[in-house]
Amino acid sequence: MNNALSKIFVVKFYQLNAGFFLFIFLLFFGLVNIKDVINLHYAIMMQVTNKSFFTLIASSVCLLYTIKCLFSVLKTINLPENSFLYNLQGLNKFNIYKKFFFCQVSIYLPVLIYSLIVVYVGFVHNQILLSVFFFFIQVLLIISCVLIYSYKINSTWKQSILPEITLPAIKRKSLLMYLYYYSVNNRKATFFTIKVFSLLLLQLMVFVNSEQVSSENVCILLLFIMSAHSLLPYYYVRFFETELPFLRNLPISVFYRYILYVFTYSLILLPELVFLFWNELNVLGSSTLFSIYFFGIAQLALFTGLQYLKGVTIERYSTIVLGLFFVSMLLLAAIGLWYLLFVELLLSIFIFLAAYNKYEINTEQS
Amino acid sequence: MIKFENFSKYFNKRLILAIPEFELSTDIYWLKGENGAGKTTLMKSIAGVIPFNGSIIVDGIDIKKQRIPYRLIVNYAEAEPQYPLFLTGTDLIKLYAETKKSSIEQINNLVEMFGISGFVDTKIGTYSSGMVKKLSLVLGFMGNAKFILLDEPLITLDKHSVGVLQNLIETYFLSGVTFLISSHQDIIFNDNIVPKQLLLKENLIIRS
Repeated sequence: MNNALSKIFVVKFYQLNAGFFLFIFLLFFGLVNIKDVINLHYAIMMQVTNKSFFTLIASSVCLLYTIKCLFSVLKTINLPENSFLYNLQGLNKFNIYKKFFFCQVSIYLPVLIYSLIVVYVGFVHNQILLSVFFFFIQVLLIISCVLIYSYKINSTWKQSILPEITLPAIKRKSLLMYLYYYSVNNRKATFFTIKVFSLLLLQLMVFVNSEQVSSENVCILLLFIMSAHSLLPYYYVRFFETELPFLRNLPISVFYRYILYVFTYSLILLPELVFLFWNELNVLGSSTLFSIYFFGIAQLALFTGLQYLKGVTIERYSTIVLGLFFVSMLLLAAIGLWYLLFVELLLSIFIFLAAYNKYEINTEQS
Repeated sequence: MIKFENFSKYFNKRLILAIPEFELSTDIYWLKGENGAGKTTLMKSIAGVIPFNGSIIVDGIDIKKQRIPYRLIVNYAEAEPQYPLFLTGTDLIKLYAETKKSSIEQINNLVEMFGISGFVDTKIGTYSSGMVKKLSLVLGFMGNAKFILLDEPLITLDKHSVGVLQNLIETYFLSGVTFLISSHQDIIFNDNIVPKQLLLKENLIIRS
């Protein structure tokens, strides 16, 4: 049973969030050289256990990650193919808690390890109160999740304790907007987390050095942001191919199908464009800002096209995203933004048109 | 009417279907075969939902060379249809109407006949499996199809809708539409309409 639960909740969670973790890893350990990485994180840990304001910020980050875990597990429990999980009702409460404790700790592990190091550093420097508080927060977050999962499993006959968030129905839904509706209906947590994270990063850039921002700096930051966004093209392709397979029977050209993706990317990257215009128009100019925006769209379009190539599983896709990050960074320095934009856009069109009709979803990964 | 040329379909290098040369004229065909024989795979291939080797030609239109005209004349209703829960039936009907070039009159008739007008404006997430099935059949009959594929059309349908479906198949057939139906339940037509049987066995399609 533990093995099955681990496959359903833990393995799937890490598979689906590989791009997100890659992004976080690069953000935490890839931005500065190895020697400075240790100093940087040591400084962060000292702040978290020294000043209550930073403890609260760190606790909020932990809470955000916990919410992500919570949505993921509850969504998985709700899937029709996982309805057999309600057989867990046959176990006593302690056993159910034990099993979900194992699952929650496993998916919370990256944050937990970092937090425990923070607590250790705090203790070493005699910052006992805030370290204990931060440790207590970790325990509280894990136990809360375990209780919610157990309640969910044991409450098939009760009304949910969590309010269901539904967005108002829109009368006419155009095919062009399907992916957007899918994002805000079926992938609310992922979608809004990525957007908030992306805007926070941009805000950080503006906060640190708004006067010395160059298009190259923004592009490299954008590459990080696109790595975080890479989860969306993955979900979108799965959505079209598993929930809308009948679209392939409709008389719609392959190019229009490509446009459906590109249109959605142009829509979901609008907040970043507006943010940059608001903060960096005087420094970078409208032409550069538009090129950065189109570069983001081209990169997401390329992520989409690549998924239609034969044998691209989620693991390979994550590797491709990582590879593209470094290749794009090199090409950015070598050939410049506009050229890279056109290369990625043309490549995405070519791959999509060539691979779309040969594609068949691997049901194991859907 | 429909012609297969060197058709083959593999899953993970395992041969599922092989139809070197095969032709069917306008008629109603009942596709039979054991579970796993490849009935749904064949239907999905003809519908253009999954890739395959070789060629399928309907009314002289090649699925690979004239992708859009082909999809205007070939309709497909899945055995267990699944649609995004945030859409309404109306959203899908409008999408099909635009792409399959269906008239308002035809849509109203189909919606009326299958009795889905009461819930078609609500989100699909609130539908029962029978309601989703009715919606998929409405979509399957929309437009100006020359060839309609119905995969297990009777499952989860109520008695009234079964009668409606039989009448629709007869009417469309008399106007020149070919049907390929896979069903483990019997469909009883008028005495003068006798479906021809096709059997899928050992990767091959056989007239029986």
